Amino acid sequence: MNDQSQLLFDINQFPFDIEHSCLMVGGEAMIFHCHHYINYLQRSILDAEYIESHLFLIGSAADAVYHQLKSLCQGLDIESSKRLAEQMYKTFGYGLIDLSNMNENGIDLETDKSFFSKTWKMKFGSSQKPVDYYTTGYLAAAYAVIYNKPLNEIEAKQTECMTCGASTNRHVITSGTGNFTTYPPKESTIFSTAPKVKLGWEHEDTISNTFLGAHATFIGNDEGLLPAFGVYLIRNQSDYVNRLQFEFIKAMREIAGEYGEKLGSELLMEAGLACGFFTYGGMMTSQEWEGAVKPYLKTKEDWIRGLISVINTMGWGYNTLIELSPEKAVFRNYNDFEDLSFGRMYGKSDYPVQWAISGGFTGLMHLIYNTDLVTGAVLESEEGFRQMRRSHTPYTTAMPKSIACGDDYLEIEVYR
Amino acid sequence: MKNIKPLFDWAKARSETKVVDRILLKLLPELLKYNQKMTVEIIENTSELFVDDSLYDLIKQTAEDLVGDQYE
Repeated sequence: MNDQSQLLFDINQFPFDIEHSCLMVGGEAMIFHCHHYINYLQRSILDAEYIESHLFLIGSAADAVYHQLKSLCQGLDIESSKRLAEQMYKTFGYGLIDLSNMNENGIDLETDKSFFSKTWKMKFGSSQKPVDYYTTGYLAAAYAVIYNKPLNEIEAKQTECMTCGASTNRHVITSGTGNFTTYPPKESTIFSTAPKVKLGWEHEDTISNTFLGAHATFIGNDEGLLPAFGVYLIRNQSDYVNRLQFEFIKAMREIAGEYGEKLGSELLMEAGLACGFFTYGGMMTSQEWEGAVKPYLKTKEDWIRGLISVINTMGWGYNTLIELSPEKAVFRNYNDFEDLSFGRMYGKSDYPVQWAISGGFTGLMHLIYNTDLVTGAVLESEEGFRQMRRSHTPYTTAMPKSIACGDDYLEIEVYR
Repeated sequence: MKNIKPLFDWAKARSETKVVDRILLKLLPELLKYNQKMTVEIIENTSELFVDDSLYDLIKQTAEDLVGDQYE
């Protein structure tokens, strides 16, 4: 048995950066996503079977976790480093891993607690191939850090998966010639210095201050899972999840230029839209919302301002509104997590990259103006999502300003 | 040549909203082989869209796989 009594990883040790609406853990920006988003994103990538996506599905996780653990394990011995890696994995909501048997040669690990396998089955049913690429990458990174191995000399593979009918997930990590992509060092985060246009709503600070720090209460339970608001949350390394998007679109562009980018982008945005529907919908029907936000809401527009006041405490940058009506909204974000990731890893972009946040705000507009959420309707089912998406007055999304493209902030227009 | 539009309408009516996007993404290399760059907007804004018989068969098979039903 591991000695889990010693707490080596505690999310409360990492203060929320209020100025930039950002949370850094071991040098990695951290953001929440829900199981609807991440599984939809991963399925979209896997749909493109002509792309060797396993290279970056594992590599993106391995790269982000490697840098993070390298920082957090400094000064720790091997056993303490293993415990920290286990605890961080559990805290972030990915499930449970036991690294006791990891040694100089690697690890052959089995677990029956996996966020990815559990929630893939919940959303899509069974799979013909293993789906927990993240954990494979996580274990590769942990092995590299703990035993001081070069990341590009590690073989990492998931050999069994509960989505394929196995009783456990199995990951095999060994030294070798490397079988996933590794990436060059990242640049420092460049935060926007542009003066912020505030939300301009009298209750913004009251609500934001109520939820400030609440992110630290979202930690994995005894199964290493993080159920909240009717979804399963995970705390992602922002660069892990965003690299998935960037590498996917890069591959699609290499195959078919702007046409490939368009096909891929539509599905990335839909992943964000699903997140907006399920997670924002769950938040706006939660007890916390009922007690701390709803008393301040008089109009449908207030519901949107209230939601923004809450999510500005979650690490996705500072969101605000430039224009809002049932027909059109213009959302603005300073220090958007997708753009900052792109800047750290790739520099400047020729095209906007804020698919997740754009889809999320589109989902929010649908929820407020195309459903009966504000009058108490419960909408969280997949069928509810389909009905909403089949609305006769769907919204269109445009991304006219992008930090990754050189603008001081991003803007998203949602209109019909 | 066959009109593919009714097949896409059938798939959309029976599956998730973005099923047509998924079909196009899955078949990207094949679409390029047939010099096709159809998008959801193009499909939705036309009443007829004719494609080569063999491409039609590929799209039909993919649509049926994703929908989980046979297109008659």
